[in-house]
Amino acid sequence: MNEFVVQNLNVVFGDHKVLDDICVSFQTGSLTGLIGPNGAGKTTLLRTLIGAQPFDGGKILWNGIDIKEHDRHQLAQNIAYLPQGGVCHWPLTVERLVALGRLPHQPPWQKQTHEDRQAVFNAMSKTDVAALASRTVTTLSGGERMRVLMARALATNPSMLLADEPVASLDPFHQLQAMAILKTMIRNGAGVIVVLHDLTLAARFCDRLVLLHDGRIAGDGEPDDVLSAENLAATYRVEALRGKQNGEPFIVPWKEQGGV
Amino acid sequence: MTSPSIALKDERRPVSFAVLATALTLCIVLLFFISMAAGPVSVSFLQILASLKGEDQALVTIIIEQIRLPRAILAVTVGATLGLAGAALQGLLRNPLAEPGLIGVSGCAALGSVIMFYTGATAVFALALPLGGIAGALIAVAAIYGLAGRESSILTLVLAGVAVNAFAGALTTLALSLSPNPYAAFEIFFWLLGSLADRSLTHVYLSLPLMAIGWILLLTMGRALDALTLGEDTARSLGFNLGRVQAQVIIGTALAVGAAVAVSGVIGFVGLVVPHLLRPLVGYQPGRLLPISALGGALLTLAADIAVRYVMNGPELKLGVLTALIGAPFFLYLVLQTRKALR
Repeated sequence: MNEFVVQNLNVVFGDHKVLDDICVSFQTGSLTGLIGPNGAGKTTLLRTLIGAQPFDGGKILWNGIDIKEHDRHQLAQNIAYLPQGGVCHWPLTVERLVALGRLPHQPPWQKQTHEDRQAVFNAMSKTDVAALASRTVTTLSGGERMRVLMARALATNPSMLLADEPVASLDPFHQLQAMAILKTMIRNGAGVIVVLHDLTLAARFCDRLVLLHDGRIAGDGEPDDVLSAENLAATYRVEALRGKQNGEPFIVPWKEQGGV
Repeated sequence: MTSPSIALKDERRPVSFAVLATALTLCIVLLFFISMAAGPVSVSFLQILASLKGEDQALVTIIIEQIRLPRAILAVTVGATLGLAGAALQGLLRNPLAEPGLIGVSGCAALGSVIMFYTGATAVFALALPLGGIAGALIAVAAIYGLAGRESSILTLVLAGVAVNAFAGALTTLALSLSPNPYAAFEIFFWLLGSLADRSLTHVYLSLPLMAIGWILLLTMGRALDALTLGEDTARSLGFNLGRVQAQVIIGTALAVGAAVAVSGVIGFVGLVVPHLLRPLVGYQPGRLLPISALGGALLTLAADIAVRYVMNGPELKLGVLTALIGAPFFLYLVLQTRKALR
């Protein structure tokens, strides 16, 4: 099992504490949803985990060893990051973009191996973009591009995937498909930390939810417990409708707190 | 259901990389010989080969070895430097408008050489000129580091480059206007325009080793620049040390461009036009663009340096003027094209 352990993590922008003494851990084998209102610190937490955001105190351990002491390339083979609203700066073809996910596995100056090509193909099939393989990324719709970028992250075959709002721009079909893909990764032994705004997807698909609010952890545990009416009122400031279909929960934000 | 192996075999690319590299190299060899033959004294290809082999032909040998050979070699090395540095900077900054001049290296290298003119050091020993240019480029790198820091964002880097460039330009103008000797000011003015005429093999020996180190630093950055296509955070998550990538591209550019500007003056826009034209041919991959853009830069500079010998009667047109005449409207066209993205 691979594991992130975050100890007393602080990140300060100016005089604003974006992350305030966070203690949390993330294991492989679990689909963990990271939820919370805008500005809660979800993206900052993910960026800190991949080393893109310097922090002002605390410690991050990967498998018991400080993240700063790990070999970069080994970490890159194990931890994949899918940023929010993904960018692609040059008009590459879809296949080439997905192949960038293999960089951590390729020694310099070496051609793609059969394994690399297989991983690229599998990733494209899973996210339903194989048919777009020779299209130019910049000509795709936002949702198509997000699926291509997700294929890029899957092509790395990571043991831990950090995905920042991967379903935000997807249509309902592809939202469900994306969550199912993440679920499959868990069954294959990987771990996923996914930032979500859709509470139903969070409640239905996640094994565990971590609720962030004002840079602090406001809830951590089973989705049912974390998504309690009190928590939703205290953090999201909404009241929600709840129900069950075939034993699975759905939860629909219905009105602003105090609204009519 | 198609089998994976069939679907994956197709390595679709607009033009095969090997074919493109070979074609560009052949064109460079061809233009190299044309460059040796072109000029007021006509020299045949057999004479060129004979004099390169050391068979004595007195006057022809002198023309070839002391005038045209250094000129052709410098067109290749300076052009390759400009094309390569342009492609590398554009990959790092993910901006098709980035140019070696952008981070202030060209401007500071020019300033370094101008100071050598101004103080009269060039009159004492000829090598002061290139040495000044190289020193200027190194100061530019140091200044960029001081202003932007190691882990800075791309925007800070660009702004730091603009500041360094403006400062170098102001000092250069100051040197021109303070010059007590009108002849020195005249010399500075013409040198700033950029040219490969009247260079010697000494210029080649002095600049080539430094350019070569710069080339190696830049050419090994291909994978990192590919990863940067997906943004800084993703590139970092793919295992690249962004601070090191930035440092290596900047130092590589400083060494290569500093040495090039020192022997040629400021030849603008090659680093802008060449990567832009060749990018579609390598499927827009920043890594593959590096060697191809180096070859393209060498080819364009060789061609332009041959053209300047013929476009005007009487004195030669300056190479830097010709590249600016072609490059500046091209730059405007690119600005119009990318205006939306820059907003």
